[in-house]
Amino acid sequence: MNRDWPPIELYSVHFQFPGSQALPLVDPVTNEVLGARPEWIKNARNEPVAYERGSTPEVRVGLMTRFLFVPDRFTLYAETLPLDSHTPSFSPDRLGPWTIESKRAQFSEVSKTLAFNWPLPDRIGVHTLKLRWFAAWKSEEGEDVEVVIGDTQHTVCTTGKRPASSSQARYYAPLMLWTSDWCAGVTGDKEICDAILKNLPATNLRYGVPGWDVRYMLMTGGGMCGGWYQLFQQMAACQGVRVETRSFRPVMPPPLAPDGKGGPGPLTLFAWGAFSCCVPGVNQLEPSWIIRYRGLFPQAQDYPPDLEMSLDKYPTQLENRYCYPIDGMDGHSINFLVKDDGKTVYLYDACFRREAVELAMPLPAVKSQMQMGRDAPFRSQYLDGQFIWFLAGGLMGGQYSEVNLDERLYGLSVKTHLVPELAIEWDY
Amino acid sequence: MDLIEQLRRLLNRQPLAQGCDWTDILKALEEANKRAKQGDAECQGMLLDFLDQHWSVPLTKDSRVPSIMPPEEMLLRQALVYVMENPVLRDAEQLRLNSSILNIAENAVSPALAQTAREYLEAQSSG
Repeated sequence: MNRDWPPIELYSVHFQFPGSQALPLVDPVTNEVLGARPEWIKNARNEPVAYERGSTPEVRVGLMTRFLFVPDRFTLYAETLPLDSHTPSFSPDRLGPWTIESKRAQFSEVSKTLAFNWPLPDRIGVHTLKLRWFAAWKSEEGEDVEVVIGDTQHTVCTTGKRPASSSQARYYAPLMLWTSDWCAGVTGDKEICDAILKNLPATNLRYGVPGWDVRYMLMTGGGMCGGWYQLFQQMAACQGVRVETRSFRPVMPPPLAPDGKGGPGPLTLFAWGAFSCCVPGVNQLEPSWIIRYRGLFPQAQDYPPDLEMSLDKYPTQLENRYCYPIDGMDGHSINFLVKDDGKTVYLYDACFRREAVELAMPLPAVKSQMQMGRDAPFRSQYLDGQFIWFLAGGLMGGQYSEVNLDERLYGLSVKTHLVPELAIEWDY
Repeated sequence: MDLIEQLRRLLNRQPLAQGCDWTDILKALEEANKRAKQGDAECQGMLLDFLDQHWSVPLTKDSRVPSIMPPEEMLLRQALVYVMENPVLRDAEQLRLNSSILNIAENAVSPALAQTAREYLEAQSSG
């Protein structure tokens, strides 16, 4: 028998064939499902696959039988091969044996669906499975024949348990590979989300570049908060965890009276124009030059500010800041994981924070407004420390100073934590 | 810069005035909405045309970059609100409007815009 020209050869291994348990992974470049074709094709293709942890996969193998002496019926099995010590792997028992029937022909293709006889690890992780495939049969002379028909190596992700509603979802392959690695061995929804949030810089994706959807972000290297909160949601979904998306925008406070003590007064006297922060965001060393506002920001040390003083009398600071206009449209996007009791949420700000913020409040309803004093959990534990300045326009020293970001007019910066009442509107 | 003229040019795919960006188109929509409420038929038509998305938004290097959704979707959402809050527009061309909103709901990258469009669709079908 010519070893260079074996009678049977393995040419494809397909995990995510129609009806299989494999999760549909999507290539962000082509936007095609990787499992539309066999994930492993000899000398041509080797793509990762993903299953819910503890699943017992089925694979569809493609074989080519070449010679007339291959019998009608033979046995197929695969041995797991050891990997180098640096490659995490699992070493289950032999796969198979399965009985395969083929046609006695010059060339024949055999496509056979085979069930594994052991489950994948019952934990989240990325595993390498290296297989040596054998065919065995009894020759016409009654001798046992056994031939190696191919070596294959597969990257297999095992994910967290999935809610039934996610069965039709599609997952971008890089997100599945990243999160299965970061969450290896982790259990619990919060722990999974924490691991994802902590490891986001490893994606090399940046905050502060135009980009608002996950595929675009993966292609171009980053995005705005409207992309990041979808990215985080999809990453959590890869591990079977449901997180909510919310955007918030401050709304105009009740007009301030001329004596600065609150209550009714002309709106033009003092009004919020934007909120801002100076933190650079994920994978940025300083606020991104593409969207930052650089300039002199007059700063009030007290609240209410002294409106008798003109803007140019306030101390100024040359700064790079991210500024978010309070225009009823834009805002900042974040994620929430709702605790089982429904009374507590964990806030995940993928753009700016590497740790979750536990807040004693229910999930904010979309299109609701929240009036918040200084003690409100969302303010005291997140907003006041994250967006440390609110930019205010108003009549100062008899002259109207407006906030207009398009014109690079920044008004007066007021420390957020000093403001007694703030109102937030929630959106999807 | 005559904002309505810029909006007209945008919808006719003609070059806009230099420096005109999406924030100017936002102002143009606001002006068109004001006039549409007063019964200006051209502005009413432009607001409906705008939802068909046969336009591309100009961005300049000094353009403000919105945070929560792309500039195009910021504009679409604003136009959608204007149209749905105007009973004349909302009821006049329901079939065309439904088709535009469905298209937005299916293709928006922003969950906020997609959800807004879905809610309007439900409101249209129930009311």
